[in-house]
Amino acid sequence: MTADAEHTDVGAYALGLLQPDDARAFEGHLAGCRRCSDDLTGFAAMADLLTGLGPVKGDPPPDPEAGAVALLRHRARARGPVRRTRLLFAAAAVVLFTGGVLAGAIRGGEPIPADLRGWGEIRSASDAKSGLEAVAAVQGKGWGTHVALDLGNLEGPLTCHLIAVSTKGEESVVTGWAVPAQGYGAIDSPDHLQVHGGIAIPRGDLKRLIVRADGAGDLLSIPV
Amino acid sequence: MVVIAEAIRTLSASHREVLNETVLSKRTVNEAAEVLGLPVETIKSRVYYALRALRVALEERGVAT
Repeated sequence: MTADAEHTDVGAYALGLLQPDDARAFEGHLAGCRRCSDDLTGFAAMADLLTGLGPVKGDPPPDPEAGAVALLRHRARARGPVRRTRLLFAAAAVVLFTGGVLAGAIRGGEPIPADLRGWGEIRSASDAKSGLEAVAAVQGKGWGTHVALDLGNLEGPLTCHLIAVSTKGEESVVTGWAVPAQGYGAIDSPDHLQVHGGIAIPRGDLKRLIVRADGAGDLLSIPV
Repeated sequence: MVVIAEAIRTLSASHREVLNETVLSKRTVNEAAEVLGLPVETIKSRVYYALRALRVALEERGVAT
């Protein structure tokens, strides 16, 4: 792979589109490349925006506007990537160097939701009956376990909590959220729900995560 | 979402196509390369430049990225 090819891999990596081997190879390059780290920070935000959006059909707008966009694009290229803050770069570096990085890897042929990349081991579960789909990322920390959740095909209105269950059967609330009437990840509502939380239970003692709806019981159990 | 779709529509046909056939269809670059009959490296490169162009189109619409 040429140096240039590695730089341009950052786009596909940010969107989680690389095969696992290629993602690992790119991480080797990323660790020592400031330019790619900067690009990754900017692209990660766009990955969030594109999550859950289907293919966009339609022709480009009339020439004058397309020309203006092309000009802006050219200027942006000439200017180079926008520099992000050192804080963000440091945060990205911490994620990269503390291990547990699954960024860009593929889950059963499907890209990992952008919001979960870099947050540790990926686990998923779905309910064939309701269509509910959940992907979780769990990562051991000094204080316990960080948990990130991406949820799709959830109909509202509901109030839900994510519950962590330890190997001893103890339950801890990770986080909670309200589901609006139009739901998450349903027709006319392409957004998936994405939440993060933490629990004091150490990663090694964490057995499963439960999506629990107030008044409607447990919707899904995710073995971790 | 409407703003993002609008921004994607302003991209060149090849940039819009590569986003449609990869991230927006949940395909890896390797899978998209097969669908489009193009080398994987070409798909990766187009994804990169499509994202750069999309960032400009989004900034133009007041969406911070």
